[in-house]
Amino acid sequence: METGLTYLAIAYGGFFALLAGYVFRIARRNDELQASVEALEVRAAASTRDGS
Amino acid sequence: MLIAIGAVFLYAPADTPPQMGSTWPYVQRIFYFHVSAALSAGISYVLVFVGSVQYLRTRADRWDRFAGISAELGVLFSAFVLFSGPIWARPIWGVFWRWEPRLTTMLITFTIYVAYLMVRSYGEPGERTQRFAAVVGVIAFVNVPLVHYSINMWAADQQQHPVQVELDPAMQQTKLICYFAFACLYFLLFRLRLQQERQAARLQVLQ
Repeated sequence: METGLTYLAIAYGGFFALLAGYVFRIARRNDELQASVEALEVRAAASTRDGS
Repeated sequence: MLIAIGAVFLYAPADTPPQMGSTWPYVQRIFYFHVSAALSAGISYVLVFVGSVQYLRTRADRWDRFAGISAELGVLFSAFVLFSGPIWARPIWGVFWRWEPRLTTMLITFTIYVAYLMVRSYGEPGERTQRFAAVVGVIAFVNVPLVHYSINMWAADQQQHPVQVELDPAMQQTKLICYFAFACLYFLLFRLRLQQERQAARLQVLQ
């Protein structure tokens, strides 16, 4: 393969790897937030049961 | 983004403009994403400055979030600029890196904004860290115009970046398509992160 093409593939591959990494980080943080919301809901439901 | 990739790989000519001095075909195609990412990074740093000044004026959390997200995106795009730059430079300069004004100021700017993000991450959550980050965000901005004007401010014998390059109309159009694609990508990522930060703030209040 031509050297120019290899360099091009590395540059664009790097861009999409970087972007995928950032999107993955956002998705992971979303999961963490979702888990916290669910934990809060469980806690709220438990305290409502205890109160009734 | 797909249209931009199509334009870069199928529409734009593969040859490098003669002022750039490279005889390698294909590497010219790195230019479109490299320059668009640099522009996005520059805009991000302007937004960090705006968010930081507004936070110091109003002490509203939303400006702190605005500055933080902008800095994150600025670092992301700068990382790509610093990654793709040397790959593009190798066939033109013969080496991957030269300590020439624009590259050096860009690297310094990137490092400063990484430090800004570290201040935000490792500081105690609260008003003190937000204020400190905002001050860093304002001071860090001093370096941003230096990156832009570095090709005019330093002596010509230290320059490697071309000051003015005549682009083929197809190259010019591809560049504009890429600018637009990066603007859309920026807006999308910013919106995603903003929603997430708002949700995190609401959750913190509930806890």
